[in-house]
Amino acid sequence: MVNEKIVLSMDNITKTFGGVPAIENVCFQLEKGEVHALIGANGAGKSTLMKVMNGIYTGYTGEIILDGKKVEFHNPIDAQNAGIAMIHQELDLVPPMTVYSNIYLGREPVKNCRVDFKKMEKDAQKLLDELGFKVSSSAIVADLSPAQQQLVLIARCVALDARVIVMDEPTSSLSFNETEELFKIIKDLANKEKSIIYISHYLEEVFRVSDRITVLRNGKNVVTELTENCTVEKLVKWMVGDIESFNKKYIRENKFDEICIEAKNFTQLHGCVEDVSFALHKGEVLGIAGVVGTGRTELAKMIIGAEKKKSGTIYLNGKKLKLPNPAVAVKNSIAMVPEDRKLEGLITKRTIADNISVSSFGRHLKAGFIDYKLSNESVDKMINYMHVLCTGRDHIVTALSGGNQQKVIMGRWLNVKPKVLILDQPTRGVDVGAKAEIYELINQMAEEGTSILLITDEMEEMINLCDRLLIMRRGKIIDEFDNSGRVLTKAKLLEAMVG
Amino acid sequence: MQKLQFIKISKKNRAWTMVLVLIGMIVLSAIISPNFRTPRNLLNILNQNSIYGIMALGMGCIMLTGSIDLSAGSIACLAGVLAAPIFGKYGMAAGFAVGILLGFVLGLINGLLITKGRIAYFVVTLGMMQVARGIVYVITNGVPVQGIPTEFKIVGMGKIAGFFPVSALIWLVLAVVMALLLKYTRFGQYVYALGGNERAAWLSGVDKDLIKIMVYAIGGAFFALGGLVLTLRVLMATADACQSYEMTAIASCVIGGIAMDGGQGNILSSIIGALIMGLVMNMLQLMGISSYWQQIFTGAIIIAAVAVDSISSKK
Repeated sequence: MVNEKIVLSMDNITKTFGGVPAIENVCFQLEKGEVHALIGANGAGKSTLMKVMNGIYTGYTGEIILDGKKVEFHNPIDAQNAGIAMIHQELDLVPPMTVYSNIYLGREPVKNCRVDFKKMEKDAQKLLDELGFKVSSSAIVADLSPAQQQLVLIARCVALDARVIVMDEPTSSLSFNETEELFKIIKDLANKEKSIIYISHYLEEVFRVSDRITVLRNGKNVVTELTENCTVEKLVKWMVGDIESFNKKYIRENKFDEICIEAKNFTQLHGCVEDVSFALHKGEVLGIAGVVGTGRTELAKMIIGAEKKKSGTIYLNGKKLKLPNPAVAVKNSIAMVPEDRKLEGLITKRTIADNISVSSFGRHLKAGFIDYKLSNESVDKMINYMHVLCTGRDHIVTALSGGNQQKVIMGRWLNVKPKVLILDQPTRGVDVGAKAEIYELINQMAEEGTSILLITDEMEEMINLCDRLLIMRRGKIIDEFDNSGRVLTKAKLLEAMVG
Repeated sequence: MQKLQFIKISKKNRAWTMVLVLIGMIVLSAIISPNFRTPRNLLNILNQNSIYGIMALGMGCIMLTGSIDLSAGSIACLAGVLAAPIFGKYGMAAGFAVGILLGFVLGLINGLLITKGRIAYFVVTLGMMQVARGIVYVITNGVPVQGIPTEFKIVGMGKIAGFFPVSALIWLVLAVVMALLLKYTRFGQYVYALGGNERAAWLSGVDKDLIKIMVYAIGGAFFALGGLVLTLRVLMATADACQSYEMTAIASCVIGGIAMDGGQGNILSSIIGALIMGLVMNMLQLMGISSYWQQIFTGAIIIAAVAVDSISSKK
């Protein structure tokens, strides 16, 4: 049963990280000349699947069959040579070089032992003209708009003679008109028998551009369906599943009559966040829901002064504050647990004690010097209180498991008891047991009056923990849900995020 | 998990391993050379290396934050040249005050350029190395500055109770002071935190710019002090003094186990590092090997020490 139309087929692909499967027995088939959308909630396994296909991740099980032959890629160059090209969200071009140099990077034509720039320029221009792209091949890439840079990347894929082109969130940096242009180009490419895998969080785009849709959920296949047979409701249902949460709902008795912190008109300097305002009450847990890349993390970082902003004012208990850097934010009792534990959270190389006490040495001074007896006492108290599994406070922090590392970072702030705590993906890469413990911690802190801003990809924890939810989309807050009864459904939440 | 614990142990053991190496080298030298065996010679080695050692204390602090200062030698030399006439005119205290203040200010400039100017530390300190050395030549025209009272030699060459070198005492006392400062002040712990993970420390509320500026300023003061001790040892300030002393200081720290990318190591272990460096040079001399070879050895030792460091932490 060989289907002539099938270009690429991925059969029963499983890829695990540290024993945890990121995708499990996923099958995916791509036909010649089709635009195939790959969708799923945050963390559903879309990028993992694409990275397996592209040779970035090796060590998977299952088969990849290209044109009826089994293939195995060890790196992206292998995949490229076989005709699979990927356009990443972060437009990987060499900005100071010309368009033609970028298109032929690594495959420059040579004449008399010298790079034949003339031929490169001419060929590149011809290619761009054929594709109908309004880009000069001798322009410098850095001078081009993001939309034009994307065209250069597409041209590069065509020049590579790629038959399969993967586009990961291609519209994230495009304006409305540019997006329309891109859709036309995608259709054109499909007509030229190229197969496109289109990854997007936004369903409207998927409906506009794709022929078929594959939905992933928690690393597994849900369905592959012709786009014309789909509706937003159906897709959302497939993306979240039928099962609503049975886990513990954290309902607190707090009354929200006192605004703790108010953020007004936050706009990012170079980025997507635009004119975001919100108020957070004392003891409230406010969730910010949105798909990856919608500006949640950037917003959080702007608030504590770790990201450049064009505008934005913070009022803490009605008093206007200037927070140029995190040190000032911490002084004003506003703290953040960052998304990337390794890069931004942990003070690697140092011990648990160092990591917990780094923000609270000021409380353990005696005549200006650190009193280690006091400091270590509070560290030990924190380790016991949070059940950090370790041999003691002098354990190197990177030797702990993900969940325990996260507890250590939470402990850093628990020790300080900030007025406002921003949690960015506090349970990412954390095992189930530690997750529940972290939820308890969050709940307790809120009960004791800390105002918490929660950013998470896990809709369930958002629904179970938050008193109120803000929906963020493309850098703006588009909706607000009251969740005081913890009865919001995942489907409703997801539809607001992607619908 | 066990793997990482192994690294931790090996890092901690590093200083002790080096103590054993040092003892081994002393025994070996004693066997090779009869002259070496006298206690006076051992104290001499302490004396000879005190200037490198003092500078290594400043360099060690800077290295703990994850950078280095290439201008150390030039700052030391400039401090000596500026302080020399003041020693003569206004006395010892004034000379030290001016010299150390100068080092502090130059370090401050380094720190400000690196943090507020957002220029890579390598570029800033390499530039400062040239600028400070250039100023030395402008001031002196290459002629040594003299006229320091002979009795000031007590700082550079003097012995307490007739046997313990004054300069070594300065070195060791300051080493203990620095070790305590790094352990028992917020500043010290932030130095380690910055070296451990600068971004995480910053997001945790550490004022990283301030800490870095302070570290460079303190470093500058130590470099200057090293230059001043040398000046009072030879009783003059020459324009080519302290050339490439930064290399020896860096080597001392690396050998002592201060990580090149910061965050780990004890400042006291730079003493062991400096003594090992000194012994190597001493042995080369005893074996009659030309002093030109010393440079080659210094460079090779730095590379070897860093290589050992990175290989052992990769495992």
